Amino acid sequence: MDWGIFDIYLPIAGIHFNVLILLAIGFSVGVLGGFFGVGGAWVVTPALNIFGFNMAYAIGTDLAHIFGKSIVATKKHGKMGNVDVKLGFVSIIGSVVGVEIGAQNVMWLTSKGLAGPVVRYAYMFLLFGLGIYMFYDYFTKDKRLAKKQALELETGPAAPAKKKWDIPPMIHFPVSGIRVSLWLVMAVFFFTGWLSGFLGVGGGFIRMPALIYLIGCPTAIAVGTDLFSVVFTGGYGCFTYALKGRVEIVAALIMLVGAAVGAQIGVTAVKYIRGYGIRLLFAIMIVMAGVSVALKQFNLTTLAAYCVMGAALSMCLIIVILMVRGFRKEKAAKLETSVV
Amino acid sequence: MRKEESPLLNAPQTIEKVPEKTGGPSGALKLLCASSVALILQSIPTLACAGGEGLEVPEALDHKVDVQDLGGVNLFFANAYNENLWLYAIYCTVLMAAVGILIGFFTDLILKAFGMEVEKIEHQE
Repeated sequence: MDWGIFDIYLPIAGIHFNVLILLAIGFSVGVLGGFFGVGGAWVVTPALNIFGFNMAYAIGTDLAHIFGKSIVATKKHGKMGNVDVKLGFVSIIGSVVGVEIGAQNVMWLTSKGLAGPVVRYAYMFLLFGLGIYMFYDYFTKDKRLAKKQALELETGPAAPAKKKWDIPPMIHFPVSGIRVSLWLVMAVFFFTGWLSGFLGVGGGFIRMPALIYLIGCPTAIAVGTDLFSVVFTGGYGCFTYALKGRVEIVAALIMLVGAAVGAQIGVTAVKYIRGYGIRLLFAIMIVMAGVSVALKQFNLTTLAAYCVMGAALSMCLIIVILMVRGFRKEKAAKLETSVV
Repeated sequence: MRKEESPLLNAPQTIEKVPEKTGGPSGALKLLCASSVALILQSIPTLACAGGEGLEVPEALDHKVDVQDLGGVNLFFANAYNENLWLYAIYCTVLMAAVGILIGFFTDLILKAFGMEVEKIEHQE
């Protein structure tokens, strides 16, 4: 397809590519990344693939732009008080060990000739399982709250129950406002790291729900803290892939232009959307990613790529619309306050 | 008629003033320490993982770029790629960070001009 002036030459990959497509992919994955706190490699790689980008450079180019984008998004989340540096740091330590062991397990499966299908089925199980759990959590939240309030009315405000897994030493994360066993934190991040190594994914989409459901972080802090970790994995990924000649720098820079703008919008949207709203949209997104992996399992690779890209674009549109509505609502409230 | 409220949207937020912390190392110092140790930890090669069938360590490409018809920025990057991949990797990493920060800064200014500035928020679930 010839798009005239929008076609540019990418010298490292040695191909002509449409600049608008690069900007659009960057923008949409930027919005999703800033909003959900994920890198978004699961969207970019298949998207580049279906538009004919050389696959030898796709992952490296993607990681390079993720690095730049995550710096922008983390900085802005930090401004909103959404980054728990201490927790992010602990998450990296726990994940490193898990990633290594996960990778060893995959190598063992590869030697048995089982890696491909086992990993894909495990991936699908995780995406659908997580998605369904998050849907269930969202749709039962009012019922749980009512039950808790009724109990409090009967017996008075209850002290927080001591959990079975509160094994000392306890560690306090003041930004997230949680006090939790160090063993639990390390076990959770070891597990998410292991999954990340086993499945061969960046792990942002696994860490974010783990921070919410297993560690007890507020949703917005889970998003910001996850992005903090993505800065390091993205930075290292960018460097190591470039060193292996696998980064198309011009394409990465163009995608970054779109992604940096998108990330700012995604992060700003977090201000206007409730924690449970973010969880619901995330659940929809990962179920769509699961559908895409399922299609791939049936050798429908092109359809799988279109599915994940269509879902990403639609989700991006929903986030922008919700942000604009929230902004208008805030403006109206401010106006009302100033009149009174 | 009253407009239906979206269950996803936050109530208009009150800006919460967070008291400044005193004593102990400064935020910037803590961030620097945490970042340095985290960067060292990242030296495990397989941590740079991205979509695929299980985690794979990427192999180096044995490829030289044809620079005959190239000029300007393209020629500059192609030469770095052909002659010294370490230098190319440094260009990539530094440029990504710098360009990201620069665009982020200008986008922030534009969003502020539209009244979409961000401050510390109250975390509503």
